[in-house]
Amino acid sequence: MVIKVAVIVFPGTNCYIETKKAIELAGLQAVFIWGENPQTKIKNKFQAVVIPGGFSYGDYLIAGKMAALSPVFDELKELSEKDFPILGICNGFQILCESGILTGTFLMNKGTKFICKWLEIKVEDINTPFTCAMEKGEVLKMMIAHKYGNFYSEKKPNIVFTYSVNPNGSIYDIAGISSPRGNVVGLMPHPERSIYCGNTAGLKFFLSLKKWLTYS
Amino acid sequence: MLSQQELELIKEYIGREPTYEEVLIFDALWSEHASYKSSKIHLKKLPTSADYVLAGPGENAGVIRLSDGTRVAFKIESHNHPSYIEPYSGAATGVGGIIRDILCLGARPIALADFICFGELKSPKMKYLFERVVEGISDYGNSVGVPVVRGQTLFYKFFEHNILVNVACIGVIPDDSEIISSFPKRKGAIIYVGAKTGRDGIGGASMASKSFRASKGRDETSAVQIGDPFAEKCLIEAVLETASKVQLIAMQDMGAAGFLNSTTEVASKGKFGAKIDVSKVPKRQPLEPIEVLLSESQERMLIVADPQDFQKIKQIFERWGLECEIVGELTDTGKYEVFDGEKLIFSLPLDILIDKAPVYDRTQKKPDWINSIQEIKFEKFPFPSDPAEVFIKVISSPLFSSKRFVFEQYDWGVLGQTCSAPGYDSAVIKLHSFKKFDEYGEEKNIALAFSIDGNPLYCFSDPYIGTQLTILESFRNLTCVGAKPLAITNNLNLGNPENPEVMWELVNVIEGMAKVLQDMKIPVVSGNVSLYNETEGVSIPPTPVIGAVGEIFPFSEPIKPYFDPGCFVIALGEIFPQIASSLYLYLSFGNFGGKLQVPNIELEKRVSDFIQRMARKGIINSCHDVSDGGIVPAVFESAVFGIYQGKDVVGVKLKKVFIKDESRWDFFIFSECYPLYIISVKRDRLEEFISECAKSKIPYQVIGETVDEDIFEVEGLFSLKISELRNMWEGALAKEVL
Repeated sequence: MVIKVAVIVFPGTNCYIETKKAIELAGLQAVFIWGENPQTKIKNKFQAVVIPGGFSYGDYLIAGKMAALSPVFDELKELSEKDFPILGICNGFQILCESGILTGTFLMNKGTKFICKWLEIKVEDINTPFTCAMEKGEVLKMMIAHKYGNFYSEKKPNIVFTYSVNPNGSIYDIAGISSPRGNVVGLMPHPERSIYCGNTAGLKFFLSLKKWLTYS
Repeated sequence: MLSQQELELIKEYIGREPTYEEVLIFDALWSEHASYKSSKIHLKKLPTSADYVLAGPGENAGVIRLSDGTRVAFKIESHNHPSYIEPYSGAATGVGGIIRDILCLGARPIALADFICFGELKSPKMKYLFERVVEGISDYGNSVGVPVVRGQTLFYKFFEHNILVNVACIGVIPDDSEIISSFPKRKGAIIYVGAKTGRDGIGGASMASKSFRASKGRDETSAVQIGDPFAEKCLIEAVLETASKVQLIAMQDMGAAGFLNSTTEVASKGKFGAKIDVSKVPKRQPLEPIEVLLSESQERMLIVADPQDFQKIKQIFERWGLECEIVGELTDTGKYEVFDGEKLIFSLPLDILIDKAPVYDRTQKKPDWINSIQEIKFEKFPFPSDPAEVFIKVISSPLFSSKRFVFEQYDWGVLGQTCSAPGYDSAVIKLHSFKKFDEYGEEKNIALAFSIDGNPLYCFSDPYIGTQLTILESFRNLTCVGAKPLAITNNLNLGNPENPEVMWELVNVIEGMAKVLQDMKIPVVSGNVSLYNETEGVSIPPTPVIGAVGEIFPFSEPIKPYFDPGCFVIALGEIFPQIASSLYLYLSFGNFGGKLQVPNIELEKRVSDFIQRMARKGIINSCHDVSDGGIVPAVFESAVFGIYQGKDVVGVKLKKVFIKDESRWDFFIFSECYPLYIISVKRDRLEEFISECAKSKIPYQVIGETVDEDIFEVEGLFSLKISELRNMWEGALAKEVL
């Protein structure tokens, strides 16, 4: 059976091409879904959702706010409560937080500048659809690229990834979190960029998804 | 501003006094920025053709065909004047403008590169300009989703009152699409697409065509445009979607002199007339017809298409939340007719607006000071007492230090194709094929390499040789990653062309460029000229900026610029004392000048070919070229460059064998001799490498080795800790600003 993943695209989403490529490299099928289309149905057609990075709606107002108000989220909220795997990368993570599916908010990076660089993150939780093929404590080389990555939450969330060296001031060195059920994961680093030029760490996210969906 | 003579010419052409509106129109279209009136006759000297050039100067950007058939569009442009007046918006809209130039051809923009040049980072104002320019490029480029993959950032005292902000963009034409020309081959409807028109950027082209005066500046802020990267991102997608679904007749960016320039240009290129109605132009606020014509509001383009395709086009742009209106049509009248609804505002023959615009062969005069500058005797400069101290001074100066502070603010990894850090010699972009507008096909077996370079010190002391060396430096940067140079785009930044000395510089820059390109058989496929970089009568040094494109085919991975432990360090090429207009001279003595040696093109080519060949054989472990800073600073960079990719620094011990005159060791360790590359070769490959050098008659010298120790040593001169040097080099720039 072919596993189909919906890649949600909003106006201003930038990373959808390489995200689709990364998903397909792992042997899954990826289809672009236009987030503004009110007729879109995810259920029964797709087995997972990925929300890629970028600057949806220009990130004007609050990063991710406008996208979180788009029609596709009516269904995503429902699915998020039914163990349906959803991954938000960078802006996708911000959108998931703004929609309330994940809990937390983002402040400007501690250094007030946009940061794009390679760094290391540590896997803290392997009981999610996107980390089940990793090892706990494993260190992944990933690229970050954000200005509002300083994650904050009143309540300590379920932490999936932490930074080895915190680049943005996020609380508990958080690089990624999951929903309480574990099926929704959001992270600031970009797995889809870590699939070429000798670094394949990013592929593990989608190989995990494949494993999860094949054996569950 | 139009000269008296030009006003007379207008009167002669139209047979009467021009109206106020007409004067403004001629002022914009006949401006240096729009008409190239001072440079046109000289630019003809540049070689522009090769069998792989698909579009050259005249189009919105140049297009070349790579060895695997991929069509690549690229161009560079300046936004110097607006960025000095309002650095954030000036730089941001500079990015937006060059992206649209690429988009015009139906290409998906895939990479950006910047060349930014400031005064020394001493005054709060200069720090502000620097930080805000970088922020402008960062916010716009990141949001629009096009990675900034390469750049150069300079700080010289000559740019205290005129900064340079040049941005280049590269795009790929989708494999199943045609290149869209700006030359309409048949008549059609003129369609306005993109964002609404507002009152920003009015008079921008004229502003960029004159010098600054001390009192000016603040009152010209409204001539700067405002950028909206989200609108630009939507415009990219909408234009590419349209191009994949509709056969378009022509496309043109609304850049300098906005709606006026784009409508007249597209009509003139097709030898048509144009009839336009300014009342149809989507507006943010009520505007006078002349304001509509001259506004340089951003994120707008002009499409010429068959009227029956309009509804289809409008649907696409509406879905992306953008404007789309028919605002006129191409005609057979040869006239440029502007209506405001039913009311004719004016009608002028198109040829006098564009084709008959004045072209000047301005007076040139070799500056008197050039000879004395070139005759400086270095032997008289005081001998530095402490080698370690002077070395640290060079590597921790903002001119040489790591530019991490700058490029980490740019998203250089978006689109998932960037195989190198922006701090390296050249950007390497692994291509995947685009089909239609949003599909990608197979991963391609080819990579694109891009370098951007400028050297104001070289070009100030000798514009002819300096320009040649700037171009060769670009080619060496391509060579460093194993790429073959294919074509260049150029941005000529100079002062006031009405000053005969500046005109002499301009002509020498162009002729120097023509000479080296002819010798190398490399064409210029696009470019830009930015003149009037002058304040209170003082012009900037001539600064031609070169964007060079090369290919690596077949591609597996690029040669890296950083060392591994356990290698020999080899200087490949010529070693001689080259201190003329060097960074060392500038930093140590605040001086520039001396005689730049004529480059040896034959050797340049031979060494470059050799490195590409050795790279394919996998014999070379790393490669980095010697440029500003000189030999030992270049070795130092190879020792620390790995940090951008998350690697450790590597210890180095250099022998003094390359210092041929120990009484002036400074002339060797800081020599910017050319061509010279710093190569590293694994111990077990040395013999093989040496025999290859002998076979190809390539001069080389083994100058040291890499070690697994915290050391950076030059025999007999200094022995320092590489970890400490790294911190000084890496943190220098941020320390200056923050």
